Amino acid sequence: MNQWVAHQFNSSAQQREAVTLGMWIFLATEVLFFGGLFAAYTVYRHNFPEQFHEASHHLDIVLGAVNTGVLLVSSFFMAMAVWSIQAGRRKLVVLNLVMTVLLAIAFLGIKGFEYHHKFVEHLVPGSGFHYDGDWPGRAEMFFWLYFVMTGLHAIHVIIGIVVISVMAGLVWSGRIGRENDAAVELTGLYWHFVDIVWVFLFPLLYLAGARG
Amino acid sequence: MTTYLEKHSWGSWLLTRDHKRIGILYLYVILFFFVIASVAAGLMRLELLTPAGDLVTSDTYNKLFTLHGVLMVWFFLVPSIPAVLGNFLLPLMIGARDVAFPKLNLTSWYIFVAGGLCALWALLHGGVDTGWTFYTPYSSTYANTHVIVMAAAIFVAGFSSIVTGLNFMVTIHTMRAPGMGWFRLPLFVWSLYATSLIMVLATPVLAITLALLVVERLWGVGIFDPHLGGDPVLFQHLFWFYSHPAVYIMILPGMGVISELITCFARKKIFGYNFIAFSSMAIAMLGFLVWGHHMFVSSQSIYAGMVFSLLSFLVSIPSAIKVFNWTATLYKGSIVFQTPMLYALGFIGLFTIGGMTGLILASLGVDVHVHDTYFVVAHFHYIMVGGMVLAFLGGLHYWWPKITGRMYPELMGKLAAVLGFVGFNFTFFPQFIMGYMGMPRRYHAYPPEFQVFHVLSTAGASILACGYLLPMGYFIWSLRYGRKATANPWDATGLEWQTPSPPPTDNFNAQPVVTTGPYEYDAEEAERRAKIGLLPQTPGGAS
Amino acid sequence: MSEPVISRKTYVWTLAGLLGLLCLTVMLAYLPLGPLHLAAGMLVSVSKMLLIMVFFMHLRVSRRVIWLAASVGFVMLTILIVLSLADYATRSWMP
Repeated sequence: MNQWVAHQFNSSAQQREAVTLGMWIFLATEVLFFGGLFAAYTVYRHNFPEQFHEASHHLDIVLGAVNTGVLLVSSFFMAMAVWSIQAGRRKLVVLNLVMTVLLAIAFLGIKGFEYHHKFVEHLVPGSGFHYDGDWPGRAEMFFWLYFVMTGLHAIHVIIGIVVISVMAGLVWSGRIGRENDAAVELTGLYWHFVDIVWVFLFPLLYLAGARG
Repeated sequence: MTTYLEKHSWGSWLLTRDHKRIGILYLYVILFFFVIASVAAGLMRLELLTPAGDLVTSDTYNKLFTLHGVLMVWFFLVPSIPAVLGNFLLPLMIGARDVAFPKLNLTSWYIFVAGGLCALWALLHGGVDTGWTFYTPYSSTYANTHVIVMAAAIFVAGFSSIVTGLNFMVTIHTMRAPGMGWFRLPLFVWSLYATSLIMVLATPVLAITLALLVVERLWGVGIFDPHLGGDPVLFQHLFWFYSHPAVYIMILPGMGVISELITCFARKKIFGYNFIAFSSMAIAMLGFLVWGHHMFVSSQSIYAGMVFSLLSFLVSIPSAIKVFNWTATLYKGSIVFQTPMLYALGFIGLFTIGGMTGLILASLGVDVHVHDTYFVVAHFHYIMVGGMVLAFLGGLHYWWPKITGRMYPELMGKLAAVLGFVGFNFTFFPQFIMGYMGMPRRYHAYPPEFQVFHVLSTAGASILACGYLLPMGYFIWSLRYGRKATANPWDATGLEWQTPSPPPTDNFNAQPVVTTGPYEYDAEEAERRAKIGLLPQTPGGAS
Repeated sequence: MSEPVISRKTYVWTLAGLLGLLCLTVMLAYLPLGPLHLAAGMLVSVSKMLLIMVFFMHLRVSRRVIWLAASVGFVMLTILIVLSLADYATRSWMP
């Protein structure tokens, strides 16, 4: 027994097993939390295919693709942070975590720029919504889904930024190290999940209509 | 030797990480909500004594049944057996010192209390009148009550149940004592596992659905808004994707308790252990495939209705497997009619009636006739009250000596069990008849020809109330004056009985090692086998 | 106490694969695929997800129960979507 094993566990291996499984089960609940939105999206896209196709052309495919890349690279740095802590290289862990956070902030910046653009173009659902085209209501539904889905994702990104920053601080100060690296690894799992959600949001929202 | 009840300060309770104390904290809170929700039910039954709406207005009546439904479902039934008995017993039953995440366990209690306070706030500020299902557009476009706060209450309470489910699943996977293989787990643990699976996988969909509802109310436009081409029936799809499996959250743990009681008081090894264990898992999984049977009279496609109807029939198979196995366990058992056993026997009968009427409701054509009538009300009360509440009371009596170290008064216990059974049937059986005759639910006034059934039902409810008040009284009495309980007053098998009553803080004085299955009641049988040279059999083995 | 479970080289290759798939999915959007666009987009997304889960999230070296926990959420989501669509896709059919 060492100081990192909580009293209810018999061994650090058992503790490791428990926290990892717990995190994965939490991620399964997250899949279904986002899942309600994906189901709603599927139903309305099935009901209004043309309007979703047209409305998606109002999203900036370049910014969307860049943002996808930004998140994918940040996920890579997160994975490297986990590698570094397993290898016991403290400074490298902090560096990788900081890179992850910086890219996450860049993601939010680009997202904010896009939101601002939609606001200027009167594409935010509500009383100020204006859309030229048939069935503006159905287009409004597309943008409503766009804002709610990306908004919920952005909330997860913000939570991720906070948690990763705290982890970076704890690793820097030496309170998390090779002996108790589970926290960093679990944060990594969470961050990769946030990445996966975006991997699906990008084609569903930005590529809903063929561009060719 | 110190028991877990030794310390008395407020801090020792409110900051505890002991699963046993957290179970008791849950017990206090859910009893509080049970009383409020029961009073609402009592007021409704009083109103329905006469055909005219003379006690409360229709608006008040709407708020009463919404309050009754919301509190009973999310603040009593869902946490009842899992969060109280489950929390208390799960680590004891698998031979662990605590659940996997004790701090998270306490957090989930505080989350639950926060949700409860939101619900109370909504109640004190005028209540909600949408019914417990929050169907759009009653709850969105046409809402004029505190839907937002009530939805937030359930959203928050939902996270408490997700956290509990997660904790239980990880605990069962990783914290089992040496030798405690999957097929040596008590069946209560299997049922908790199945329940946790539903809590973890279904509750998030309810959470996002209620969040969408709240956003729609706040923002003015939203996903269920027909102005945007939105479909209010989509709300029903998402809602029942949670709420139908949630029905199984409200019965599976009860089934687990009954498996423990039947085998103990029939003094016999459970019949078909593997079948009962797997039928719990089957019910949990099939429960996700049948939600559309709540929507047969909505604009849901009739073809989807057919599929959902067929799938709903499938749920009866694992449910019937359980009933047959319990009955087979009773066969040639040495049955002892202790109070918990009376509750268990009541459960089997009432659950069977509730389940069979469920088949009637799952038939597309018949459902059109009885949809939203008292037939439905009676059906699910046979499951929720006749099933889950009886199991909860049975379990509470059975483990009361373990929890408190005191025995309840046996004669009073038997009286309460009989009163509850009789009162329950008087309350709800007439509802089957009047429902079939066409009495719709959620009406505060009705044609005079239904009065006789309503009077019977209200009379039954008052007997049922005695069946609830009596245990509350003698349980409190027993804390001080009850006979001191031994470690194993029922001569039961199972790890929780091998530690003192009440258990020490760390549950066991020495790490238990498991060498047999959970229900080795057949001592004489084993002796006989030994005499003729057969080895004693244990179901399954370590895995 | 632990050792790295997956090498740095694998992580780099995973990232390269992910960025390659990103380029692919954008290119696919400009091709005249008609109704296959959705299927193509989802296929690429699932591939990306598998890369992330298997390498970044260490599923490759995880026990079976973790695989189970990782997949059960998606199974349930599929049930939710398929059975909901079963309603919406057949609503206009005449009996």
